[in-house]
Amino acid sequence: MAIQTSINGKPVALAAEPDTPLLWVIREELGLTGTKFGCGIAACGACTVHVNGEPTRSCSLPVSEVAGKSITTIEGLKSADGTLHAVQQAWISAQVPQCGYCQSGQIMAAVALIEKTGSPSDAQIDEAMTNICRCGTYPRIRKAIHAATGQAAKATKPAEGGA
Amino acid sequence: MADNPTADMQAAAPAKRKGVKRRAFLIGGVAVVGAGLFGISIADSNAAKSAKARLESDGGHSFATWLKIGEDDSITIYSPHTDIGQGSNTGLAQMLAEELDAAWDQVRVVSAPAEPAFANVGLGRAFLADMTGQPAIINGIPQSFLSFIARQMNLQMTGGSTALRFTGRVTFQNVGAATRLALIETAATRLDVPADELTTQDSHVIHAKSGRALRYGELAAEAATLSLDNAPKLKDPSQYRIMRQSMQRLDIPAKVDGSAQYGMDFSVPDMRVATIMAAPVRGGKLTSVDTAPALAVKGVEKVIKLDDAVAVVAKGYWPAISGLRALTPQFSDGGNGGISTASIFKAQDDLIAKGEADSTAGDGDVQAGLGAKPIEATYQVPFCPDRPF
Ligand code: FES
Ligand code: FES
Repeated sequence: MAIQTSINGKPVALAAEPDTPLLWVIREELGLTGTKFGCGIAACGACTVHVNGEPTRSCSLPVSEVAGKSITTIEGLKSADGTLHAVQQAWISAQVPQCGYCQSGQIMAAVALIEKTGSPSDAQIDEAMTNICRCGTYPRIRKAIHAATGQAAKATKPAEGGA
Repeated sequence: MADNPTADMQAAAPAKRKGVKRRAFLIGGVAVVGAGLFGISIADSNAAKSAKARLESDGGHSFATWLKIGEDDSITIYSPHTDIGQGSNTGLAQMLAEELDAAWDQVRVVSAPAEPAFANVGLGRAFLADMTGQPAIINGIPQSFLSFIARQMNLQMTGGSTALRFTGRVTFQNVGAATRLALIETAATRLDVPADELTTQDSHVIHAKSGRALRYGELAAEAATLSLDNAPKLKDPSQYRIMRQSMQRLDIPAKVDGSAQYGMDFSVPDMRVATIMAAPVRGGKLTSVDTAPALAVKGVEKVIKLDDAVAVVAKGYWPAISGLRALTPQFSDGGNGGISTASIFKAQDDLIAKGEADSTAGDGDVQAGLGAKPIEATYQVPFCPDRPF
């Protein structure tokens, strides 16, 4: 039986087996490949999406549990006219990504944090941003979160080379 | 490299190109290297034709494989290197755009397609023969040089800082500079002025005297039919406005909106996903596996038994991995089950004790260098793939 949910503002009926993790439904059934697969055990955060606004590691959430809920993926952050979300813009200004593989998850986690806290402190960032970045972009992630929330305009200058 | 240039060339039978006679073509030395590394031109081989067609299929005009200029002034640069965030594609684009005098905000860089036409020594040779109109000329080129092209072109290799040092300095700067000259030449004809009265800036050829300017996009179609200069003069670094600057990386916008494509994001219609479990010990073999538990997983289509591994093929990743996890394959250890880091170190020590190990350095007089008390230390590196952090 199809699972009714909404993805990025659009209602969808999902055909997947109910025990399939949401991640694979998003990537394979819906073809939204911006959400990444890292560990599959809720440890890395690469698969982070919003379920009813909550940052959620979709690799470990059976799709049956999102029935009737609303899901946002990295593809759904832009506004309808294509304007990037302030956090995405800050990510570009601070030149955050290196390989970029973790960044969809980082951005989704950061957006949720900012929605919750307004202007997160360093301590709040440390606590909420538990996503792993193998490239070690953490300092630039912090800078971009500050910049996106107007806490440090100077942080929007291009970052030093991180390679 | 198995080589029979003459036979290859006869098969390719390149046609003479418009504009070829205008250019002196130097065989031997740097000019040839430049030409070889320019990549394909309009050589008359099927691979080259399909490559050119592919590059131009969505509009635009191709220059020396690596560059395409659209009639809308868009500049597309094809990088043969893998940039996974180190920034080399942005650097390469800066190098080409600098010498081209391109408008930087119109520049984008994409991966060169992984198809033979973009990395094939045969095309390099066809290009040489085509430029000269003399297929036999290939015979005069040293084998070592042809191998050099082969190594450079058959592999879309990334490593050793070769992207900027070789592709950038040897190829892309020259492609940019040579294309700029072709655009100037086209503009000179169109404006009916001497080429040396023309300057270039931000993707325009400018005739200051008459206050006229032409966009690269409106010159590209005709310029692309010209033969490119093999040894164009490069800019003096004091003139740089794009190079030697920290530009925003071109790959980053696609990495903040989920549109960047990674290997796992690739898909084709009706694609299947396979997961695989290999013998846990090198040399081990698959001795038995009951395939039924995997086949019972909805979405699993096939279990494949290999000599030293078992694979599950399914409609998607989740059934494929669930099916694999449902299996309890038995593997032999190939006699290597007892190997450990300790046993490898011991085997090394035994060889050293027997005098059968290679000694890689032993020069100089330790006593004289370090005095009476030499420092002694033993370093051992465990067996590991590459160099994890
Ligand atoms: S893939 Fe979901 S947390 Fe790592
Ligand atoms: S940017 Fe590479 S893993 Fe985070």
